[in-house]
Amino acid sequence: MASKIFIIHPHFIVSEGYAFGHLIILTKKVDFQKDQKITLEELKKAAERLKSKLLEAIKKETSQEVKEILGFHTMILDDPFLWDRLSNKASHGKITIEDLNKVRDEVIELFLNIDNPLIRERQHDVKDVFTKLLYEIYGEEKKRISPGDIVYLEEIFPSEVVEFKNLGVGAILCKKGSHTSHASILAQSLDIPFMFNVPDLSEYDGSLVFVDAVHGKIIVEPSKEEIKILKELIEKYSREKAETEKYSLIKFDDVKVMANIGVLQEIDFAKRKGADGIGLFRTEFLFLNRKAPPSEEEQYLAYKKALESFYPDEVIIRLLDIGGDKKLPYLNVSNDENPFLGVRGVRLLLKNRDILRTQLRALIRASAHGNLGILIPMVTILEDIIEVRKIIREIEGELKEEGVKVGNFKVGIMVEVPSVVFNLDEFIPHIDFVSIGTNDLTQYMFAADRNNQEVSKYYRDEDKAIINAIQLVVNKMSRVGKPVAVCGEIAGKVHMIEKLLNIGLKEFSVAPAKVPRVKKRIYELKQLKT
Amino acid sequence: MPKIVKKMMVTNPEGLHARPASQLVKKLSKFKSSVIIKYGDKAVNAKSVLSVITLGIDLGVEIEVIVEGDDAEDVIKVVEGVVSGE
Repeated sequence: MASKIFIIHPHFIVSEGYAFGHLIILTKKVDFQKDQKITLEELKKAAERLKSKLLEAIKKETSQEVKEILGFHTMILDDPFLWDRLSNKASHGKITIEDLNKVRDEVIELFLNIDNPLIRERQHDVKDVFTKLLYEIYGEEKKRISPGDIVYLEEIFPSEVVEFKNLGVGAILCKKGSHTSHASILAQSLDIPFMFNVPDLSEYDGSLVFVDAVHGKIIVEPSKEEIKILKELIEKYSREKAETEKYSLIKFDDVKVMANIGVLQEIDFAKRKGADGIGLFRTEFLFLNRKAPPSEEEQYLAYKKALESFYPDEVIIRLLDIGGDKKLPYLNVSNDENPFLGVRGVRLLLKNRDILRTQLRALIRASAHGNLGILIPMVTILEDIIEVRKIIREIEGELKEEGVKVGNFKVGIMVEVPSVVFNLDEFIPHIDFVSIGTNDLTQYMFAADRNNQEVSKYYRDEDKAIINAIQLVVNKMSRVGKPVAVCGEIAGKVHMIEKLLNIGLKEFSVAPAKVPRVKKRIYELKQLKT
Repeated sequence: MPKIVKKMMVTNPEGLHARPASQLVKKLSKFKSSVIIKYGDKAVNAKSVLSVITLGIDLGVEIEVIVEGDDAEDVIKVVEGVVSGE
């Protein structure tokens, strides 16, 4: 039988690498995301499966007490009241996990209303049954996965990436995805090859599959000859990778290679990869997928962890950078017709002062635990900086009055809007450092949305216009001895490093997995010079 | 369709807590009739173990049972059996 080849556009490679293994199609979503939906039918089937497992267990069980408890659980699974409630919550035969949990809590509430403590205690059985049911729904398919397998699923959630890593999954293929999702960031961090926009592979479930997430290719059932070549390719790649990893230990006197992180799990990973600090700590993960903003304490603990882990190296933490396209229930967001040109970044923060103040308090408290830089996103005009700095001073005063220990910290801005490049001189007295976000800068300079395939040829982040902009910023900042970092994709592109070094860039901030590669390149270039 | 409404005194020492409620539901599952238990201001489906338990029926209280269906007479006997704890 001839092998079948699928070509995937390189744009959809999130995390590079090769893998060769059996394809496992996961048709169901595999996590407890609360807005995720399941059909009542699926739920009923899962309940039936669980029930027969429980009945099996009852047969084997010797303790009468346990038998009764398990019997009670089977009855809960059959309970008409429960199914009524679930049907009521469902729409079009589907129910969200959140609603499933709501029904659970309603039932528990009924138990809690009873005076008799013996009855109240039984609420735990309800919790138990619901937990078991969720595992039944989502656990079933994942049991098929063995180390080296390649998984295909519609969409992936961050926790699944971690789970798949632990299961030894060779590569992840998804129908839907995005470069900026946390799942993508984690896949890069954890170094699992990952591509999205992959066509439906359902008919190849169980087939041997070769995944090339370097060039963008999937080969189903390769021939013996092909397998031989592909295996050599994988070996060569792994050898080179192991070779590159050694460079994570290198430190340069004059150049820093730092890491961009977006979730807490990445801190240790970035450290292992040899990052000379965190050049960009995106804080959005703390704010997304929740009903209320994170408390000062929760944020403080997250920032403290990052600062302590990297001390004495610097950790640059960016204030919440949310655009008008993301609706958070607790954020006061206007309906922008064009969210990328609307209320985003610092503009949004200044309209949501409570959130800004809480984040700044958490950050300034955390400053006592390390070397902190606070980064203001989407700055366009000087007033934005002056306003934020004013609030920072107020909070510092507040904290000192409260007797809270405050450390030294720097305040800098993202350079990601063209006007800032040209007006930088007037901003310089008010800032300690800048970080150039070349991804957004490219979008704004070339008027091309990075996520829109139709205009991908206009999105030119390696263009001389971008290089000139970086050079202008580097020149202006180095005149006053203030640091500049580049934290966009360009900093992690091996073929661009020479150019960036030549225009005087000293700080690169890249995805953690790319740190060794960038260090290797810098090392090689330095060797050539001497 | 035959309908029987009957008041009963709960003499089962465990009231209608988890164990007797489970027994009741198990036994009732074989019957077609609808069964409602009224206690205080609440009326629930007696075939739902969660509903019965969360009435919080203790020993010595009075409940009202409403059975409707062809096998109502047999059902009432079953309910009486569990409620009395025999």
